[in-house]
Amino acid sequence: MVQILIKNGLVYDPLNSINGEVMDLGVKNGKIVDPSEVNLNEAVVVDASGKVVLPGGIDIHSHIAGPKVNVGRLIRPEDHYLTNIPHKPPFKRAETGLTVPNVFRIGYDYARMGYTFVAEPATPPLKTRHTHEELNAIPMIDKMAFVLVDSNWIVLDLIQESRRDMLTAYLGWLLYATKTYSLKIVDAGSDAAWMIKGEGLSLDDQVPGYNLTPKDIIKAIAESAQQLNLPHKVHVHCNRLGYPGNYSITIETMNLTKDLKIVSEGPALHITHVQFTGYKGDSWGSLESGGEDIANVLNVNPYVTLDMGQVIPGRPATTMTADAPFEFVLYHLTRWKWSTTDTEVETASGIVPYKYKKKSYVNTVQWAIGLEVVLLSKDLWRVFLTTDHPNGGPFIDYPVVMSWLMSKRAREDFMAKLNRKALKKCVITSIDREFTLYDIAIITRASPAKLLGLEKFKGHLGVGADADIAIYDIDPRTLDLSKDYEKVSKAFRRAYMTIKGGEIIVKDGEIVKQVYGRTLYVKPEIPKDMIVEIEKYLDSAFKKYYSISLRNFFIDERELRNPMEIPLKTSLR
Amino acid sequence: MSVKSTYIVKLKYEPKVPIDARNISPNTFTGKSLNDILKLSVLEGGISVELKDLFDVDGPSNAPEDVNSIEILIEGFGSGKLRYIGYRMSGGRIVVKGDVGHFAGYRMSGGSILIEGKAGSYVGAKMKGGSIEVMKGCGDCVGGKLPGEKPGKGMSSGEIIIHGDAGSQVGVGMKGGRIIIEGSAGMLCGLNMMGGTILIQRNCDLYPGARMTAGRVIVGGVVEGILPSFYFDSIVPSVRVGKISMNKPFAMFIADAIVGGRGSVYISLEENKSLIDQYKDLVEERIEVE
Repeated sequence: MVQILIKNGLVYDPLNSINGEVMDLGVKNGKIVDPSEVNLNEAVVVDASGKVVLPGGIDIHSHIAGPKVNVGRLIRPEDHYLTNIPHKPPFKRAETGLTVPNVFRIGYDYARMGYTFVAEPATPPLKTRHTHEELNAIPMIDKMAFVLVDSNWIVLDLIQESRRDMLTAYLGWLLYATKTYSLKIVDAGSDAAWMIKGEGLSLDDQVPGYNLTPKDIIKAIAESAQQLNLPHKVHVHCNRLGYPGNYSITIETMNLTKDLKIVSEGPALHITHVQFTGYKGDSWGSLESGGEDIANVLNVNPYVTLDMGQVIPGRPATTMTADAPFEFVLYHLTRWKWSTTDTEVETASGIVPYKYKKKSYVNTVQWAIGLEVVLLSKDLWRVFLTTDHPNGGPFIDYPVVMSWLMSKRAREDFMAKLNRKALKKCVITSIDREFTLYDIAIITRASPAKLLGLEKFKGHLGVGADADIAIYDIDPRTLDLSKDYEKVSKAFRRAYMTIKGGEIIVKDGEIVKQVYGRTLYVKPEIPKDMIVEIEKYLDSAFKKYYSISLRNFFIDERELRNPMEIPLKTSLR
Repeated sequence: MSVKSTYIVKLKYEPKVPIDARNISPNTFTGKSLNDILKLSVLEGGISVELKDLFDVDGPSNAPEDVNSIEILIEGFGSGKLRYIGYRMSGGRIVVKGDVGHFAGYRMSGGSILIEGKAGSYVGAKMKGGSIEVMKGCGDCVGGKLPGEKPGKGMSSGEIIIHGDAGSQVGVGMKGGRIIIEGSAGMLCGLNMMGGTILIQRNCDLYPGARMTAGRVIVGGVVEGILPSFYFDSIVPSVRVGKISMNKPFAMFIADAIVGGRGSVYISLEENKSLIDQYKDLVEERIEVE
């Protein structure tokens, strides 16, 4: 393996509190080492003077793999016509697609932006085998998947019967069986209601067929996650997503942490793509931004984290979510294409292509909400940059979002193109805050690593960390980041150099080497007698509910390309 | 128009794989010397090669700046493998002395293309102007949109004349312009159409004008079947498309109720007696009134 010495780079490393210091970095055997340990005769020396050195980016919410992405590709052939880049033998494969790119473009574009770690946030347990097949095919990045448990009948049964230890054991078993990393709740209980009644649920409605409310489901699963001591506890997509006035439900969901029995460290709930659930007002016509209210709740509740789900007006998007009732509504707004699927026992889903328009009132408010939440939050370690790719916009627009965060002028220039009437009702026009490179390094590198519990070896540049490094050709000492925001977004779009696992994979924004990252999953420690009990229970449950047998459900370790197991000490007894 | 500069582009050998020849167009030739033209890139089965590797090019040593005075003659055995001929051309003329592959005249906005043999699918797809003439038959989706796109993203202006048969989905998603087919056409011609005119002088397979919202589809021969979502409107004595007039009675339908459309489908009365029988009462009623 090559040794690399990065000289004189301007390093930003929030986890080690390094804020723009000129220093050298050594890379040896895929790890970061002290520069003195690098053998200069063998090493590749990279001159990074006048350039910014950051840890490799981490994206905690991006739909990059799974059956829904594949269906998205199938129903959007027009997404692929003009975006083809032919292959370049011997190492670079052909790329195609914008909102639902092929696996190679996903890996390459993330690498070009200096991202080296991506989490796929929703995979139905039954179809996770497919998700892993696709994750295996994505080059360049490390990845993980979160498993959907919101409307799983077995989960609902166990909550209904108040068998909390069994529920915890089942969720632990499920995480290991599907080789996933965390639990995802989409519109808790709604898919059960969607199948039976054809409608979604609010937080206090009763789930049909069960004596439960979505609140009970979120609480029970969050408490189980506490018991399991998961590094990233629960990823929550709030109820009534996409309906005007849903910001109050989001705030109520955030406040659920107050009733939780918290036994392990770290934030207890992660509210995802908060932009879609931050609408104030009674109807689409009177829509307002609830960003400020959500930011205020976030600032006082240390157990909650959230990500933006920023929309990119002017870009096409393909909305894909397990929230089937919302997609049903969206299809009737757009009247173009719609795909809806039901996965037995577990979840439903829908896919609808959509385009966010600059002059649209609603889309402008959506644009404002995402930015407001992040710009008004006091603790940057609990907010994250995402576009909920491909729901809000493609991930290749992260650099544009960064420029909006870093420069008031960028926001103002963009606001000139947006709907004036909507902007009058938004706080965004009066926010002066501008992020520094250090802040950007926090929300895209350090805090995601911390949220996922990987801060020991990801998201920082200290000795012993994985050598995932991104070097960008900007110099904040000579360049006014606020004025020349276009240069900033350009630099972030095409990294000067990306190093993944000690190998140089991108040079001057071009792929120079194809590598395959690891797939991370957890193995919670469950007592033996509980495993016997849960497998006995599941045997009968599978016979009752599923069309496949328990033995075929389990995904073996050898089905993953480069598995990396993270053992967990749980408080299950 | 001043003197024409004619380039003769001749295939050196019969290609075994499809060739993406989108650079053989008056727009890329303008203002270039012959040497530069020989260095234009051509994709041979996905591998980029230079024009001179595949073609002999003969013509003036310097191409004029004016697109309209350039004429390109494409010759050689195996020209049926050439795709994207006249891609995005805005003027000038291309003559193909043989067959061409798919996407001839794709996105063109002016000028003319004459194909002396057969053409592949997507002739004049998404074209915005100009004219295409095909002397023999052609494939599917003449003047159409690409799969997955919204209706109305097809051909928007210009004229396509096919002196032979066409495949299915003629003018799918077209918005304007004119397609004239002197032979027969396949299924679903005028699918998702939003404007323009399609004239099929002979027969047509199932369901012309399905899901159309505006425009005209005229079938002069036998129609295999029409959709039940069409309204019978009237009997017209003759139909005229540009300089072509068809002096026989046509049954006119309003298409297609399933998308609330106001397009019109004309079907020759004599050839389709059995098909129009189900509208017999309505037909007689109208004739009496008239």
